[in-house]
Amino acid sequence: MEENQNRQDVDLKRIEEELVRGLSGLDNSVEEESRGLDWFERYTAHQIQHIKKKQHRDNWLFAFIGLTVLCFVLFTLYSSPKIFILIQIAVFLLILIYGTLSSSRKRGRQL
Amino acid sequence: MEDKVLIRKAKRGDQQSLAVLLHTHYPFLFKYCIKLTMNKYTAEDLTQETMAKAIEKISLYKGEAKFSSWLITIATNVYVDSKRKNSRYQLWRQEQIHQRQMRWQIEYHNEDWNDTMQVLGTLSDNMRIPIILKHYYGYSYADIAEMMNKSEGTIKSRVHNGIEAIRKELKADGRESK
Repeated sequence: MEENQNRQDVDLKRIEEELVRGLSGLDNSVEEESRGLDWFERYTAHQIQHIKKKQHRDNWLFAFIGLTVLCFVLFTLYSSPKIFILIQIAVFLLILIYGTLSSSRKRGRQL
Repeated sequence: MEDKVLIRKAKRGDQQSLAVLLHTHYPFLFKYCIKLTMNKYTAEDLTQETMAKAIEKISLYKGEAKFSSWLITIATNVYVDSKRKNSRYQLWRQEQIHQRQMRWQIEYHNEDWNDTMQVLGTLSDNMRIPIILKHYYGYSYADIAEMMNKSEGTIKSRVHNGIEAIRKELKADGRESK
């Protein structure tokens, strides 16, 4: 019984050692990249810009949804929800028209 | 400059400090990602995605854990999420290809790709990730549990079951020396 346990322990120890050796081999097989900090700074700056844009967009979306809910509640309480839905459709159409116009203007500038 | 100073500056919005901080940890993170994915190109993608997440969430980093451990936590979560999105068959095929490529790359560099590594590659992520973190990086069970958002007992049993699975597999294949 004890002998069996000892053999299992030895097996496990060897597996652990082989794992460490194999994983170290993985590390060594990766050639070190000698790219300087300039490249990384550019990459980070680009990423930060991208993330800030995304956060800005998300903030606007969040504000828009929040306002919509608030207005709906206020209109339902003090006026008619029908009026609110009509206003909402009008606002949505305006945003849609603005989006289409600005993107077509951008395309025009690129050409 | 020390990590703590860089982190403080980065959290205040200093882009240069953030770049230096991430640049310093890039090789460490990439090497961890290669152990997760067993593929150089996927590891590069995962590293970049982790970096992007780190940039996005740097203000949320509390400094309780080491910065490298924080990066490992992000990388592990990104990896597990991305695997959840793919189908099982696609994943199996990808893993087979990745392992063959990795083995070739390691042998090309005259490094050791032993049977244990081969079996490790076939284990599920649930067992493989805690084994790598425990036996290679030397993290405690409590640290790994926090990183993977699981209980300490779960991590302990996964590491134990994983090592036991490797032992059984090696024995079954008759590769274990007697």
